[in-house]
Amino acid sequence: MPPVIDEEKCTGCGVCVEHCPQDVFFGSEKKKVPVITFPEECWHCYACVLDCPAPDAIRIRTPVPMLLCYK
Amino acid sequence: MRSISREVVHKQADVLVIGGGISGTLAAIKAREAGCENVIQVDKGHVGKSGCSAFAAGVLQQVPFPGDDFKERLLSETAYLQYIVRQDRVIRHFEEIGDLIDQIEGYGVQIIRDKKAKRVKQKGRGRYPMLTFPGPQLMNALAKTARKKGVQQVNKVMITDLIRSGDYIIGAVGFETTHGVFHVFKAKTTIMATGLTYYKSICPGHRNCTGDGYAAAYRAGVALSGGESNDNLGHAFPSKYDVGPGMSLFVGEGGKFINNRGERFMERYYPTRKERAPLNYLTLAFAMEAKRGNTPIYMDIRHFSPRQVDRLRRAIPLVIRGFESVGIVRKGRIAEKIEWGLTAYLGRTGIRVNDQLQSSLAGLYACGEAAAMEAYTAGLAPAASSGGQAGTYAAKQARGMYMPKIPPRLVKELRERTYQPLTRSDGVEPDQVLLSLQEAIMPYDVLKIRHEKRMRKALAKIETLREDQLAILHAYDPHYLRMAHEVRSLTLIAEITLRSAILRKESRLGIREDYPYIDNQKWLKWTEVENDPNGKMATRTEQVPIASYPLQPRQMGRHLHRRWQIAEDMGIISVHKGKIHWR
Repeated sequence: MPPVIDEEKCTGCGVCVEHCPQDVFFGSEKKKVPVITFPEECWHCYACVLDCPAPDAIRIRTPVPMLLCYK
Repeated sequence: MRSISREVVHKQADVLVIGGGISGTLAAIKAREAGCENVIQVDKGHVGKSGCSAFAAGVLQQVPFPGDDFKERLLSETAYLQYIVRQDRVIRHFEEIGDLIDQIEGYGVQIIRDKKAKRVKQKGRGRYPMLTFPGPQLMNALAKTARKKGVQQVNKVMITDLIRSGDYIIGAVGFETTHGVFHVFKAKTTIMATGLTYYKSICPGHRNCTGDGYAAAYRAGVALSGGESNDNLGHAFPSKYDVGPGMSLFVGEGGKFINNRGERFMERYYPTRKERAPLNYLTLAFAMEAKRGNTPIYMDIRHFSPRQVDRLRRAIPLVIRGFESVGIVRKGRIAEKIEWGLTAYLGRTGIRVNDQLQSSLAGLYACGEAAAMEAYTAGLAPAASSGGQAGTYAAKQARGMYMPKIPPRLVKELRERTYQPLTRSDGVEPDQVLLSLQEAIMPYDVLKIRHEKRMRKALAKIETLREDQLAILHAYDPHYLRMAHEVRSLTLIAEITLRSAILRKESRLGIREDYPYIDNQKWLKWTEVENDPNGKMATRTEQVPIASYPLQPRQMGRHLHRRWQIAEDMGIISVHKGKIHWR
C-alpha cells in the first residue's frame, strides 16, 4: 500500500524516487518532496523506507482490510 | 498526452547484462573479473532493488556442506525435478557453488555465522540445510560490488526488444521510464538475466517481474523450453498481507499448516516431512484441499518462543515488522494464526541454453530464472552460479569480436514498435487487460490441477485477449507504456505456458486429471517453443538423453504419479479408465 512521506522530515534527496522499482513516485520533481503517483503499484519492497537517509521521513501503510483479517 | 522525448541515446557494450538481480549482477561482476572492458547492466527499475532477488528471504538453499553425500544430493535434486533436469548442470552447480559462496562473502554479503565464526546450517524445507543472510543486505552488497568493479549500471530503462541481425543478437533497445528517451544498446554479447514472472499476483518480484526477457527472446526467434513446468517453485504466502517470502524459515522453525477444520493436513499428504515437503507438493496439497472445500488454510506459528521470533526478525525483518504493524505480535510471540494461500504460478517459459549458457541465437546468453528449467539455474544459489558462468563465457566471446553495426532502418523500426501504444488516442488500458488475463490464468484448476478442457478454455480467452485487446493497448506516458509492454509480455507467457502444458500428456511438471501418469516411455522429453518464420508459435519435443546421465528413473514405463497415488490411498480420489475422479 502507498508510502506516506512526512513532508517536514523529507529532505528532497530523491533516493526513494530513484530506487523504487515500480516507479510509484513517477512525476516527482528534483529537490522537492516526492509525489506518490501510483500508490496501487506499491508492492512493499521497502526500498524507499530502507534507503531513506532521513529517519522516519517515509513509511509504508498497511491497508485497513488487511488489518481485519486476523480476527 | 504527455509529450515524449524524441531523443535517442546510443550506448555500446562488450557485454550487456539485462537484469539487476542476483544472476545478472554476478554475471556483470564475473565479466569484469574476466577482463572485459565495457560491461553495462540495465534494469527497468533499479539494479539491486528490482525483482525477486530484492525480496531475498535470507536463505540460500542448494548449497553443499562438508560431509554431504554428493550422489544422494544429486538424486534428491534430480528426483525433485522429475528427471527432466540436466544432471550434468546439477553436478556442475554443486562443484562450483562452494567457492562462489566464499567469493560472495568476499563481495560483502554477510552470511550468518555463529559465535565460533562457522556458517550457521539453518534447517529449512526439504532434506538439506541452508545458509542464511540478512535479506536486503545481499543485493545491496552485490550491486555495490558490481559498481566498484566498474560495471556501468543503467537504471529505469525497460528493454523491449533484442536487436537481431541475421542469426546474431547484437544488443537490445528500450526506453527510459521517466521521460521516455529511447535507448539503443549495441553489444558484442548480451546476457538475459530477467528472471521469471508471477503474473503480477502476490509473490516476490510479482509486480516487477513480468517475463519481458522471455517475450523479447521469443520475438527475436530464440528457442524457449519448459513452459509447462511453471510450478516447480510455486509458492504459498500469507494470502491477505503482502509480506513476501519467509515461509521456508517459518516451516524450518516448526510452523504448521492447518485447514479450516483445524487439521494439520500435511501429515496425510506428506507424512515424512509434512510442511517441509517440496514446494510443489505442498502447494498441490493446498490445491487439493481447496478442491475438497477445506480452505482457508492457515499457518500456525503461535507456539514459537520469543527467541525463535527474534531469530526470524533477524533474517526476515520486514516480514516480522509487517506482522507487528497489523498487531499480531504480542508479548514477543505471533499471537494469531495467519491465513495462507497460493501465489499465482510462476511463468517460466525459459530460454534454452547449452553448456556455455548460450541460447539458440549467437551472441545471446541466459542465466538465472531467465534460462530454461532443465538447465538448473533456479533459486538464489543456482542463479548466482549460472550468472557467474554466463558472465565469464560472454566476456570470453566478446574478446574475439568486433563491435557490431546496427542499420539505422532497424533502429527506426524498433523505436516505432516500442512507442506504438503511445500513438493511439484511445483504446484499452493495460490494467484492464491485466485483470482479464489474471482471471483467465489464475484459478488453481487451470494450471495447478490440470485438465485439457480447462486449459483449452483458458487458452481461448488468452487468444481473444491477444487478438482483440493487445492491438489496441494504449498508453499516455512512459509509465503506462511500461505497463502496456508488461501486459503484452504476460499474455505471451500465458499462451506459451498453456500450449506447453497441453502438449505434455502426463503429470510430470504439472499434475493432470486427464493424464495422471508419469510416462517415462513416451515423455522423458523436453518441450520447446519457437516463433517460426511465419510468425506462428511452433511447439516440438526433444528426447532427454537420460542414458548419458548418472541417474535413471527407477520405473521406465508408466506409473501413476505419486501424488495421485497418495490421494487415492487417502480416499479422496479414484482412478477410473486412466482418469481421476474426485470422491
